[in-house]
Amino acid sequence: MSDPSDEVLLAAYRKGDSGAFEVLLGRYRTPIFNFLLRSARDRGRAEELYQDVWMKVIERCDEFRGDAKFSTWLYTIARNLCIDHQRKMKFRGHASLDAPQPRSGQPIGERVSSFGPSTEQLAIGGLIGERIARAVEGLPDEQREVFLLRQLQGLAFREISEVVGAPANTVKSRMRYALERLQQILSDLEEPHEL
Amino acid sequence: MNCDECKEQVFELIEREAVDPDGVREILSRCPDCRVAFDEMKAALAVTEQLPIEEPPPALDGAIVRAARDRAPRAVPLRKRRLQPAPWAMAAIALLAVGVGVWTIPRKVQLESDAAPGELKNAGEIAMADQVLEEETKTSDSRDAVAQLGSEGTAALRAPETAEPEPKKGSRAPVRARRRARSSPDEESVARLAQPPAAAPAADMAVAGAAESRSHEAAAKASAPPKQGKQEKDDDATCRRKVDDFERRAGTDDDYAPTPEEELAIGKCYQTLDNVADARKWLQRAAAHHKTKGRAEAALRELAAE
Repeated sequence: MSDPSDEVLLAAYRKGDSGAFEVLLGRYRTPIFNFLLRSARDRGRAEELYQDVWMKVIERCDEFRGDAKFSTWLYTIARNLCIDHQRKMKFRGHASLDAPQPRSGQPIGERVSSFGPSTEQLAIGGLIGERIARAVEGLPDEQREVFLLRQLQGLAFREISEVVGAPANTVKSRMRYALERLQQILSDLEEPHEL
Repeated sequence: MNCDECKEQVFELIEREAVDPDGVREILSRCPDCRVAFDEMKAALAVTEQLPIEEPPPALDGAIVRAARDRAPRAVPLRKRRLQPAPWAMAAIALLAVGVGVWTIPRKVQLESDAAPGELKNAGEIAMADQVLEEETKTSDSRDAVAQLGSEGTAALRAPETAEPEPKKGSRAPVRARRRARSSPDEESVARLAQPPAAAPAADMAVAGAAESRSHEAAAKASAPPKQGKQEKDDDATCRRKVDDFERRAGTDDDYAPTPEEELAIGKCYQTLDNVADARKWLQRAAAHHKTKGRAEAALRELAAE
């Protein structure tokens, strides 16, 4: 017997089955947390946003109309909360990792990723992942959100276009630009691949 | 397909979403630049797969699950909710109910306002009062018919009055008298009797004159407050006793505060005793309460008319 769909689980939860909600939480807790973590670039903020996302799901589950997938709805909530958070951070005067620095002219994300220990040392120290994470966090917001939705959750481009409110072709272009940029930053980590 | 189109579809080819995968593969096989772009893209995807995945704190999940459990389940399923009338429909029904209530209540309120408080205590008495009212209506209709028929009405005019039931007990006689005095059909009949048709023959005029004098008597008898008779004395004595009790109690007990019903009863007693100032004062107080407002205002109107 196949697992119930997200939409069926949400409907069950609306009728009072809290176990259905726990199943939904189990399915999405890791990807949604990493989406928030890479968007907020701060674990503490990401935890706050993570809690806010699920609280909004609990509060607004009656508003879910079922004409979109649950995953689309969930990530739309998460993205909106991230945007609100970024606005607040800009208001507070935090420097963006995407902004070019006055001296080098490079964004912090790229500068950070370009320096540091060698590949071997990073692999030994388990820091390759950290460097990739910094590179992803250094992507422009529009590219980063598409990249994360695709890589973390594996959403189809059509779903991503619903979440970010842009045409599917635009979403594909953003994904391509994000990969090109990551490839430039992380080229020293790459290994040749066969077609 | 050219190289630019190929490069645009390289990612789609990797993700198996290319519009023309065969065309892309053909260009990749013969164009070194496109092949390099493909390799770089694929390598970037492979590297980013090493993006570290972190777990949220279990304590947070626990708090979220507790919040989810605390949420009250929907009492009404969505489909049932759709079957419920819209808020505007509920408002319209409520307005309609209020309108019907306003249209039907005044008659009963008027009847109650005519009676002293506590007199119409049960449904039987109310029904009896309604019966009396109905008889009066019949009577007035008869008078109308008599007035229009002219001489034939002379004999007929007396019949309904004689057929009218005797006042039984309590205040039903004053109720009827006041009702009759206010009743518009009676006023119309009196007016019609007082002004016979100009084209009526002389004989009919004489009969009409006789009828007029009798009708005037009847109208005067009906509209005049029942100042005389045993019933009148009983009412006055009762009211005097009530007023005395009230004044004594108000004088001795500083904390005494009459209820709206008592205020209405006191006002009516003062009205019966022709103490207009006190009657108005207590009726106005009673009119300030929603329970006694209708009756008190009716009594105030009556007081003003007097």
